[in-house]
Amino acid sequence: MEYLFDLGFTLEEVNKIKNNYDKKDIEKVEFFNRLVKNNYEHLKSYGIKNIKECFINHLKMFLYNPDKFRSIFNKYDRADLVRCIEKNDAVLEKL
Amino acid sequence: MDSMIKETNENLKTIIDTMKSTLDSSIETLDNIQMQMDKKVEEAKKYKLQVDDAKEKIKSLEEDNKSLEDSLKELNEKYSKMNLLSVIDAGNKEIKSKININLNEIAKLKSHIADLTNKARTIKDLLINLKKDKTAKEERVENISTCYTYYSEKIEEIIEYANNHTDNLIDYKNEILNNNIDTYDYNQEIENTMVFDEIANIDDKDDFKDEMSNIDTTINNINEDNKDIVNNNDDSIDDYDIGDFNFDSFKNEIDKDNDTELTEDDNSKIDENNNTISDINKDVNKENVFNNSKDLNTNNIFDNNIDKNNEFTDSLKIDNLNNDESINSLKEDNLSINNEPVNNLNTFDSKYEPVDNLKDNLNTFNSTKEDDYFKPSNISLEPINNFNDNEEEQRLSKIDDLFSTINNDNNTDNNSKDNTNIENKIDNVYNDVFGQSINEPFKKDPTLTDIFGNPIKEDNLNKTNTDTSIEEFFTRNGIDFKKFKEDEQNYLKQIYNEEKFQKIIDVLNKNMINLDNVYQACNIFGEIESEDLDNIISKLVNVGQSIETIGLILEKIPRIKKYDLDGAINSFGEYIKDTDITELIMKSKYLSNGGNI
Repeated sequence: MEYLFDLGFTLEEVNKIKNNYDKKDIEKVEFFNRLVKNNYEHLKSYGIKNIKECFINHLKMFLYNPDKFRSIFNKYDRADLVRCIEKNDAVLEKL
Repeated sequence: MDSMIKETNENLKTIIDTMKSTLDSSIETLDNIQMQMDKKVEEAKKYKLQVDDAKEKIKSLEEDNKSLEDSLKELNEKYSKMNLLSVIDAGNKEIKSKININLNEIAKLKSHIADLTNKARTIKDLLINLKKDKTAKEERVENISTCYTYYSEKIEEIIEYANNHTDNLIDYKNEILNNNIDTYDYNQEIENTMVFDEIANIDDKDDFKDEMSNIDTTINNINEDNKDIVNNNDDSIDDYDIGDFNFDSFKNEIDKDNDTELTEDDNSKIDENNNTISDINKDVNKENVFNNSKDLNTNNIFDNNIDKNNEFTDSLKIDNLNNDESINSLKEDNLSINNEPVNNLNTFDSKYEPVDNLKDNLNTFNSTKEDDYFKPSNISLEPINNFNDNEEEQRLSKIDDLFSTINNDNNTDNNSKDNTNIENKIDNVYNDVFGQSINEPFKKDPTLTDIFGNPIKEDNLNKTNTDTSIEEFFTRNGIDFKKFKEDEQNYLKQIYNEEKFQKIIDVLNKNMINLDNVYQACNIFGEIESEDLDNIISKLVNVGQSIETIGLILEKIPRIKKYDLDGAINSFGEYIKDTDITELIMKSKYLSNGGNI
C-alpha cells in the first residue's frame, strides 16, 4: 500500500481503507498496484476534487481492467460527470 | 562583475532557501505526526476511561443481580412454607425481570467494551506506524538540519566575501596561492621516515638488550651448526671425484710441485697470493653465501706464519674447495644430482667470480687442466629440473643464451664484431619471446594470454564489459537501461544473458506489449522463460485481455503457471470474457499456492 502515499493519501486514509475492506481486496490493491494506479490517475485526470473519497469508498472499481474502467466514464459528458461525482461519489456505482 | 556576483549570490541564496523550506516542511510534518500521535494517545486514554467505567457498571450490575438472586432465594424459602404460591410467583417474576434487565445492560456494556478495545487496537497499530514514520522523519530532519547548518554557514561566507570583494575578486585566487605557499613547511618530517627514528630509539629500551642477546645466541648456535656441516662436507669433498677431476690427485700434484725448494721470489709471490686469497676470502665471507667461510678462515695457513709450503697446499685446497661456494654447485651440477631451483642460478656470477680470481693467482705455481673446471664457460648453466620441456623455461633459457652469447662476443671479438650482429641476435631472441621484432612498434591490441600463454577466450574478456554491452543491448531494443532503478540495474547485470534477454523482448514485441512496462517488470528477464511468457500472454489475449492490461501486470506473470492459468480460465467458463485480469490472476494464484499471494 506504500504507493498510495505517492498518490497523496495520508496514513489515516490508508488505514481507513484497510479497515473498510476485507483482506482479499486489500491484497489485490497491493498486488496490482500498477493497474490500480493507472485507473486512479485516469480518474484524477478528469479533475475530480473528491477523488480520494471515490477511491476509499469505491475501491473495487479501481481493480477493473483499465479499458473497462475508462469505458465507464467515457460514455458521459465529462463536466457533467465530474459535477455529479463531486456532489455524491456514490454515483460511481450507478454508472 | 557586480551583476555576475549578484546573480551567483542569488542562486546560492536560493539553495539555502530551498534547504530551509525543506527543513521547515520536514519539521512541520514531524510536528503533525507528533500531534496525530498525541491526539491518538488522548483518544486511547478516553477509551480506557470508558472501558473502566463500563467495567465498574458491570461490576455493580453483577452485584445487584447477586443480591436479587439472594432475595429471590429468600422469598422462595420464606413464602413456600406459608404456601403463598401467588406471592412467590409475582415476586419471582419481578426479581427475574430486574435480573434480566441487568443482564442485558451487562451485555451491552461488554459489547461496548469490545468495541472500545477494538478501537484501541486500531489506535495501537496506528501509533506503531506513526512511530515508525516519526523515526524516519526525525532522521531526515536531523540530516537536513546538519546539511542546512553547514551549507548556510559556508554559503553565507562565500556570499559575504563576494559582496566585500566585488572589485577585486581575482585577488582570492592569488590569496589562495600565497596561502598555499606560505603554509608549506619545508622542515616538516617526512612521515614515512619516522620508522628510522623509532628504530634508533629502540636500543634505549630495557628489553632491547635482552632481545639482542637472544638473537646473538641464536646466531652463534646457527654458526656452530654450520661449522659441523662444513666439516662434514670437508671430509666428503676430500675424496670426492667430480667427473675426471680427482682432488686427491690434484693435491698430490701440488704437493709434488712444492717438494722443490722455493726461492725467495717464490715466497714473496706466495705471500702476495696469500694476501690476495685472504682478501677474496673476506669478500666471500661478506657475501656469506656458504656461511662456513668464516670458520674455514680460522684454518687458513696464510694467516699463520708456519710452514708455508705444506700448509699452503692445504689452505689452497681448502680455499679452492670450500671457501668458494661454487664448488658444491659445480659438483652437483656436473654430477646432475641436484635439482636446484632456477632462482639460485642468479647468484652464480657472484659464486664463480672469486674462484676465477683465485685461479689467476694460482697460475704462478701451477696451471692444470683441472683449473678449467673453474671457468664459467665450462660450468653447466642449465639446471637439471623438470622445466626443460616447458615452453616458458625455453624462453628464459633463450634469454640467458642471448646474454651469454653477447658476453662471449664481447670477450672474444670485442674489436672485430660489429654492433649489427649483436642487434640481430637480440632481435631474433626478442622475436622468439614476444613474437615480433624489437624494431616493430609494440602492438596496441595484443592478443591477451593467460599465465600459460594461451589466448584468453573472448567470452571472458566480455565479462568485464558487461555494463557497456547490457546498456548497448537495451538501447538497441529501444529501452533505456538507466531508467531501471539502481538495484534493478545490478540485478539485470547479474543475470545478463543476451540471447535470453533478446528472446524475452522478442516475445513482448511479438505480442505488441509496450516496452515501457519493462521498467517496472525487470523480473521477467530472470524469472521466466521466453516460451512460458509467450504462452501465458497468448492465453490472456485469447480470453479477451487487452495488451495494455497485460502490460500493467507484466511483472506478475512469472508468478503464475500455465496450467494454473488454464484452470482459472476454465473455472470462469462462459463469463471469462467479462472477467477482470485481477480476478483471473488471483484465481491462478489461488490455484497455485492455496490462495496465498
